[in-house]
Amino acid sequence: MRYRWHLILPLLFVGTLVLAACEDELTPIVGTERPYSMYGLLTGESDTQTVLVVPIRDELDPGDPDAGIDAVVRSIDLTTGETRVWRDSLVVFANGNFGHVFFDLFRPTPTNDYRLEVTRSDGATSYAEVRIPADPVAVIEEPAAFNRLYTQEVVWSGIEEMIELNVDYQVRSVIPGSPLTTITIPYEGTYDDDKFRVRLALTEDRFTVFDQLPGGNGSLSAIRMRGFAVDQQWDPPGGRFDFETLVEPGLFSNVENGFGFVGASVEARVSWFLSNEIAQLVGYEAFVPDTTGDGTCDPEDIRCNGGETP
Amino acid sequence: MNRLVLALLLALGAGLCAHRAEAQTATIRGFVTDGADGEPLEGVNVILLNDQDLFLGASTDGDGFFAISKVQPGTYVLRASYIGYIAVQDTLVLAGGDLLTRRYELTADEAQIDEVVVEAERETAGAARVVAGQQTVRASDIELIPSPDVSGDIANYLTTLPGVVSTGDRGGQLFIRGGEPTQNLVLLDGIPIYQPFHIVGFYSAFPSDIINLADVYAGGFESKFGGRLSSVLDISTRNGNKRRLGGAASVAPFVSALRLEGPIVRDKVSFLFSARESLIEQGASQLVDQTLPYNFGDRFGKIHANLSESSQLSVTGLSTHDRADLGAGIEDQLIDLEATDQEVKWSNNAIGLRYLLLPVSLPMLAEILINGTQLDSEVGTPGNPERRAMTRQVNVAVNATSFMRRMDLNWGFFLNAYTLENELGNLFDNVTSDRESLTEAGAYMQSDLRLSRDLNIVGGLRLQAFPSKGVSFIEPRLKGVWRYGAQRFSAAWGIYHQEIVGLTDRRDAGNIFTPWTASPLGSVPEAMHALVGWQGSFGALDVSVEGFYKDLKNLYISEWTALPRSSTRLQQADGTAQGLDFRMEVTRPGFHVLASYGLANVEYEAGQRTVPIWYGEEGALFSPPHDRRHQLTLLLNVEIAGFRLNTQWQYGSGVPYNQAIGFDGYLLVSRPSINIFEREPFQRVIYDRPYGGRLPDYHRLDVSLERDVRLHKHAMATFQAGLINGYDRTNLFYLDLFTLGRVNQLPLVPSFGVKVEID
Repeated sequence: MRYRWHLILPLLFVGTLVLAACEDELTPIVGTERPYSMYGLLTGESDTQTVLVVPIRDELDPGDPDAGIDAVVRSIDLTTGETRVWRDSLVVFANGNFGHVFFDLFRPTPTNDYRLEVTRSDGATSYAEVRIPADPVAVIEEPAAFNRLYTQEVVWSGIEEMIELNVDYQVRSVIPGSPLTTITIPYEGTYDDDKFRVRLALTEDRFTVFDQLPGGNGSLSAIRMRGFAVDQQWDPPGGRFDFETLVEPGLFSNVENGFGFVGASVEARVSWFLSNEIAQLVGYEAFVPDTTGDGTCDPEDIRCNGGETP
Repeated sequence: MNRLVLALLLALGAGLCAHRAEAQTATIRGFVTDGADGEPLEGVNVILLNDQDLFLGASTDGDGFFAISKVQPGTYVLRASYIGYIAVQDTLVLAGGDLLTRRYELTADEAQIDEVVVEAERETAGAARVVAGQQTVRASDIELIPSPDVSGDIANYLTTLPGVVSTGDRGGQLFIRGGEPTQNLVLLDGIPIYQPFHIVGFYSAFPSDIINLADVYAGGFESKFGGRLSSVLDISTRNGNKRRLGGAASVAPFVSALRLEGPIVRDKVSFLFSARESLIEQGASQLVDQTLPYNFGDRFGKIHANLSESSQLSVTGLSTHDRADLGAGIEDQLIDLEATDQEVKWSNNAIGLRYLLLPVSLPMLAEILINGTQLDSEVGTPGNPERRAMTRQVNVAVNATSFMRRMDLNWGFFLNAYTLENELGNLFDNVTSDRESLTEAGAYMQSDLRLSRDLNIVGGLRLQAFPSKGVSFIEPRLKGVWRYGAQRFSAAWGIYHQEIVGLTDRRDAGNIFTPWTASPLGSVPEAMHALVGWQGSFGALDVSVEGFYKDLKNLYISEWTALPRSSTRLQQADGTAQGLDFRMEVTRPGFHVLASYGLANVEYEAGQRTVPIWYGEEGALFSPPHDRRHQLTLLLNVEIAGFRLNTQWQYGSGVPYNQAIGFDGYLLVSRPSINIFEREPFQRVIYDRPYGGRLPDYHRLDVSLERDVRLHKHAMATFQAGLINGYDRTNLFYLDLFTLGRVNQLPLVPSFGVKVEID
């Protein structure tokens, strides 16, 4: 059999040339309608409100800092209708990178709803809506004992979620001349029946305190609980602020038509002290105030200064 | 361990009992070699005839070994025949209980030699003769593939097979029927080689000049093999010429090569030595005017001795080295994210001893293997690598085959000691760098049952255990072949485990640093293979179709992270691989055509903890970056006017990659006390769905033209000219999403080479 190479080979050649002319498109960056990512805070504890605005771009390179940013940031009090336009600041971070932090000087009103929006010149807008938590009110329950283990519950009203919750124990070591020392123990609470409850384990905490106190024993001056009341949006998936998890786009985000998170918070703080009788039952020595004898209060002494009210 | 010991005793007992039953019959066994150089001939038909024309038959294996058992006493004529050789006849008078051992030499038939290509006639020899996932590759098959070198290479051949996905001409990674490169078991004379392919995809660590035969098991492999999930490439090398000195030297823009072989003691002891060294930086990069920072080489040596008529000893050694900067050549790089001068290096060093024995009083073949193999690899800035890995395996194994009338019983046991040292430099956040020593012990037994002349059933059981890890596996295997005229129907099924795994970050195709470790997250990868196929031979035409399904569990893959950095976490995934392989081959004198098409679908389901939150699903179902749906190879070989023209066109549909919808910065607002003015955001990639995009299709035409010129009675020169990527297709090797830089496969590369061979 005779093979027709003179036909097959030219056909093959032409076919491959045709294929060679076909260049496929490669679209590694598919693009998005979402214009911005934004990270910020509206807090009742500060006169200055801030938000970092990052344009969503199709290159990793953030570009030229001098080129400015095509963004207008506004906050709208949805309760009163007040609109404020925020100012831009170009921040150069410690490593030389830059970012645009917008800010405005005002103090948001508790229980009001706010909308923070970033708008591009073509009208594309990313925004987040938050509710400023109410000013928290604490009720400190009497200590209770079970099997000689003392606990004490603090019940907060007006708080749905509380983060950065810590309890400070202000103590003085038995070593003569020791100053007041504050030992901090992180805590968590539970939201139940419209109340945010924190149950202190006084006796267990005393062991922790003495472990860290020079001399291993001492007296309790006062107890302080502090944290930030936030709205329920401030609740990361999985319950932990794990950077590796939350860095994935769309996780822990309350920004519409964009990415990021804008939080709202109010600081919550209350302090009190135990009677010497209860403190000794918990395991502390009896507390003797103002041992310096000059009649003045140590500025750090919570009890001597009359404590703090929520 | 008790189960292993029991299995071993069972295997031994079964083998020995079987032999006792042979006492009233005779067995004839032996070796057949090529009279010209003493090399074993595989596929020689050995038959016994008596005056009633009763015949019993066998064919030789890769060692040239044959055995015919259960022969009734009497006088027989033994005939050993092979295409292209003069048949040998021997008259034998056999008595009950006889166990004869013979050695036959076949001499080439000068009348046929110019017309007939000498090929092993094993039923799996030939590109389209696939039976239950197994295919035999001969050196002559390899030479048909156009390559940038005068000598071919099995790596280049493997990429023509359907179901074998390659990363292209860079990277040296082969994915076989959905399996990762680290799930392929590659054996050289029984020695495991951990990184068997060079950095440039045309080359393996095994030049074709040293290969006798290679068996490719794309799935459903037998009980003799284990420790890998996907496939087996079992290469047996030549022994070297036992009659006279010979060799070859070649030079081409990609590699230069040297081979020497000859007798140390004529007819008894021979050596074979081969060395290759890449010339890409000096040669090919000049031809294409492009930086090609690739350097590799290999050294192979073997000494083979016929100790007696019934025993052989060989020592094989291999040393390879590779060095490359796979990121070099990134075009349009937008920012200098990290130092791109990342060099990857690795070396294999392996040595093995193989003792082949025919016991005097037992009709069986036994081999004892003692092997040591080590892979050292590192990646990082040149001279200051950030990551290193050392993998060492010492292996002792005994394999035996007992020959019976209707059954071959294969059994064996093995002991492996692994030392795994890794300095991972946070490659995976949840895998620590360490040094680990492990011991593995196991045994297997497999019966090859000939139920009738046309039906074979192979059933086996493999047991393996890692006492220090407290894990053991039982792996049943099953295979069946039914011959119907010139057609064969086959099926296979098996369970496979892989405790020692290679970890590769597949988010980046340019990242080929692969440390090996014992399953780091506890669960051991597992696979179930099922395949069914048909193969038919119709004169010069061979056709085969085979469907496969692999169920994969506990695979180790990288987690996705939105941070543009090289480290991530390791996660486990389950998956499936399924597909259909089609091959058609026409072979005539001076003409050969092979068409192969592979249809495949590989899917993984990852259990990454962020996935359910990210996508609102329980797990992420995605196609991994080696899921090539369609793959087509057309190979044409013709001889015209004394020239050999080899033409190959390959097409592969695009493989998945991660697309992004954009980039931004990320700031974790974890607490209200954060100062926004002071906290620097992290650069972030906003990925679309994992591996949601597909890279452009791949296609390429390679052509080579060769001509032999006889310089002397014993000297031949081969001249070759060729084109790689003949129409200069811009095929993508990988895309760096962070920089949008791309590294392309080789452009049009003209090549020319010359080889001088002395035989």
